Formats: sequence, C-alpha cells, structure tokens
Amino acid sequence: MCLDEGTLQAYLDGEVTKEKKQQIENHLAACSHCQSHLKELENNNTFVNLHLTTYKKHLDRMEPAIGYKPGYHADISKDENHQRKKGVLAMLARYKKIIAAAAVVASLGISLSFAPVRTVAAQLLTLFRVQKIETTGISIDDLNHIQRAFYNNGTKLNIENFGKISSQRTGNSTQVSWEEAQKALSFKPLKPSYLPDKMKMQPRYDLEPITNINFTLNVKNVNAVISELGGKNLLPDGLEGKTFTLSMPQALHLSASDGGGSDIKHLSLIQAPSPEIKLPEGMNVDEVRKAILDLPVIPPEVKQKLAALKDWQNTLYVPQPKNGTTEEITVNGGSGVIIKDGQSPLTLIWQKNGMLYIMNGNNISADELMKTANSLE
Amino acid sequence: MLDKSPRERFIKKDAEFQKLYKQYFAIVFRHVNYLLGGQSPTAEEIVQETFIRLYNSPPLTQDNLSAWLLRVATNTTYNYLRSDKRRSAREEKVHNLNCVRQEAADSAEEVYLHNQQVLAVKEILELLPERDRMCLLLRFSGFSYGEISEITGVGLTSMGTVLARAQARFKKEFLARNGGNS
Repeated sequence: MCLDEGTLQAYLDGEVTKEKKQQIENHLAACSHCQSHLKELENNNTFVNLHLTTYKKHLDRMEPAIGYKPGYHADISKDENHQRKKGVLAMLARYKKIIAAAAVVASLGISLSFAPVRTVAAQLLTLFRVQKIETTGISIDDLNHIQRAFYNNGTKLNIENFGKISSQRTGNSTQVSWEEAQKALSFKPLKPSYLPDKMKMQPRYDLEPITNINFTLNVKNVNAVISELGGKNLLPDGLEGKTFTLSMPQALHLSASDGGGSDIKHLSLIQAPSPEIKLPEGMNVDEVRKAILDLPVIPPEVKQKLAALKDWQNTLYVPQPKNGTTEEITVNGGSGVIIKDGQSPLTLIWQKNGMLYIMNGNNISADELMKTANSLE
Repeated sequence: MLDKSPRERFIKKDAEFQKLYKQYFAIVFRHVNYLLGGQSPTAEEIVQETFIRLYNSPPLTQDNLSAWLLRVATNTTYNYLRSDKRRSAREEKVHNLNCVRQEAADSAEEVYLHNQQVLAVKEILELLPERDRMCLLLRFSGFSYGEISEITGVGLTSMGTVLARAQARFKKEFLARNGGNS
C-alpha cells in the first residue's frame, strides 16, 4: 500500500510518531513511486517557504500607526482612540495627500515621506515654513506614480537606511478651558463668532504641546539608493550625520457639533503657528532638490510640473484629489485652499500672519464653512 | 494567598502590565499583520484586544507568555476573518484585485504592498479558502499541527492532506501567473 500525501506531508513536517516514522521510512526505501511523491512535496514545501518568507519579511517592515511609545498606552483600559485622533499631526494625517505633495515639492524628502513609521511627522520634515497655500495641477495620481516608481525599483527604501528619527514632546496633550488656553498659548487663540444652525462649541479645548522631530541623515546610504535608481547628482558628503529638526509648535483644537442625529454636523478647527524646519548648517537645499528631481524614475511630465513650482520652500501645495476639486480661497485676508473630495468632510486650510489653520466640516456646506472661518476673532 | 484575582498572579501592577505590553507588542503585531496580509489598522485592533484579554483574564502562569499571546491573537484573527461580513468583503476584493492594483496607493500600507513580490504572494493566498490559507500561514510561522488544528478546527489527521494540497495549489497558481521564472 502506498502512502497518501497527507501522511507524507506530516512526515516532512516532523509531525508523525516514532513508530510511524519508521514504517514510512521502511516503505520509502522500497517504493520509488512514494520516493518521487515525497520529493515533489518537498519541492512544494521549499517553494512555498521561500515565497512566504519574503512575504513575511516585507510585511514585518510595516509598523503600527501608533505602536508603542513610552507612556502612550499608559492605561489600556481607558479608551484612547478618541484622544489619539486629535492634534495637528493627526489632522494633517487625514490629509496626507497634502503632505505627500509637500514632500514632493520640497523634494528634499521624497525618501523621508515614505517612512514606514507612518507618522506624518516624518513626512512633515519636508515643510520649511508654510507661508503660502496654493493649489497645483499636480494630481494625486502623479504623486502615486512617483511613489510606485520608487517602490518598484528596489526594496531598500526603508527609513532606517536613510537615517535616524527621534521625537520629543514637551508634555502631554491636555484639555483646557478657554481662559487656560489663552494663558498657556504663545499665540492669541481665535474662536468663531458665527456657527451654522444649532451648532455649539464644545466647552473644553485640546492643547497640544510643542513637538520636535529630529532626523539625522545617513548620506552614504541615501547616495547608494540614488545611484541605484540611476541618479547622477549625489548629496554632498558634508551632510553626513547632520540633523534636521522639525518643530511643531503648540496647537489648539476646538470642535463644535449640533449634538445628534444620524447626519450629525461636526466642525473642528486646528490652529497653530506654522511648523518650521531647521536645516543643518551649510546645507544647500537646491542641491538636494536637484539630486532628487534628476532621478530617472520620476516621469518627465511630473518632473516638469515639479520643477515649475515656484517658492517651493515656503508653500504648501495642495494636489488635485482624485474625485474632487481644490480651489484657492481667501479667509480673513489669508490665502488658502478649500478641498472638496466627495467622501471626506470638506477641508479648509489657510494661513495668516504665520499661523496655520485647518478647518474640517462634516455635513456642513462650503458656504457655511467659509462663513464660520471668516468669523474667527 | 489564594483569593487574589487571577490578574494578580503575575501582573501585580499596571507598570508590570505595561512592561509586558512593551515587550510583546511588536511580536504579536507582526504575526497578526502577516496573517491578515498587511491590514495594519485591523492588526493593531486585534493586538489591542489580545492585550485587553491578557489584562482581564491572563493565563495561569507567565511561562510561555508569548505562545499564549500568539494563540489568542491568532484565534481572534481567525474569527475576524471568518465573520460573514469580512468574508464577502474579501471575496469582492479578490474579484476586484486587478482594479485594486491600478488604484493609486494612498496609504503607507498600500505603498508597501505595491512591492511586486508581496502582491504576487498575496494574490495567490487570497485564492485559497480561508481555512487552507490559515493553515499554511500558521505552519510557516512555526505552529504545530496540534495548535493549527485547535485554531482552525481542521482535524489532526487531515492536516497533512490540507497542507499538501494547499502548497501544491499555491505553487501551481503562482507559476501559472508569474511565468515560472520564480
């Protein structure tokens, strides 16, 4: 009697008893048919093992959005979902498309923006100081094109290959009253004097502490990747070990809602001084930008569009969402963009006097949202 | 003392719990993320759930805690995958896979999955029935037949057959789709 595949498989996997093992080996010694069957199963084993190992290795590089941070999960029994979705970083994360654009525009950070540490923080590294917000003809597809080009070209694009990231928070986010907010903030907070029908401000405000994120460049590795991708302009050796610092200033988060129903109206507003990046001394950002824009993996038409962006160091460019539109607007004399993207709530992002404002509205019309934004005082 | 709550057997303080959390989070997360094929937000939720389980009703001893955590997490993952809603969503996803490929990668995980090799493997895995896929994935992350049987409900005596067939199918489909070069 020949052995069935299940028995042979179990034998291969070392899942048979000693006696059974002996029996199987006795049979195998005398049966060429079972020998070749075993060989086939063995080949399948090796084949699957090989592919699953690669697969697992790639998936292992993904990191959880939150992961472990000291003190972060201080008490798992408390629901922190609610807390952790707030804050400027989280808010911007919802609009990671903007950030992706900024990344490309500042181009310094193409590599940084794909950090598997999904923190927007790393992506924000590419913002210098936002002084202007404008739309651009670059579409989300263009950006994805670039991302894919990078990803299809090798597997070395891991943030650890480019340098080290660390972050420091100067405290925890806290809930404060309006008076406390005014006292604690380094800027004068604004509140809307107009709200759409039946909406009320939440009485408590979330105060986000200053956060600094440091990124130290490993030039050798970055250059190796640039060469591998066919680029000719390498980063200067002088940047080795230099640190970029991104400062996210204090931020205040207000929200308002109409309190109920299935089509609940919700509005939130983040205000913060524009984030700023400190570059290492002696760094020529144009050099870095050139090194990245010259990479052959970036499609020529996208390259042209990128190169055409003026004042890229100080502007947050908002790309075209896939199923929506962006439109340049003015809020209280500050320039900004309104993003209408079908599924997500309307987003209004603008800046004025060195401050960055992001307002989101769920079930609120664009007119109402604009009216609310204009009523800030 | 015998009347201590189960938790106090080895997790006496929240600080100790936190230590365990810190120690095992990454291991459990990677395992679940692998079983789910890279749906990291879901993986995170399942890991959270696993640790809540540890907090509320921990095993009797701390011996082999990682095995305990992995087993609980695996069970939770498998239950999640088997829930009807999920399954239909998944089937639809397989159906739309080609469209999905065209879709732009909006999020970090998708960007990762745009790696061709990973996509190729994922595509084949999704062709396999839930049960077979789970057996295969668990086998290659070092689970024994007994453990896999406990989680998936596949009888111990059929495990070899299920695995042999799943592997043969994996190889066949993979070669058919990828031109036999790898």
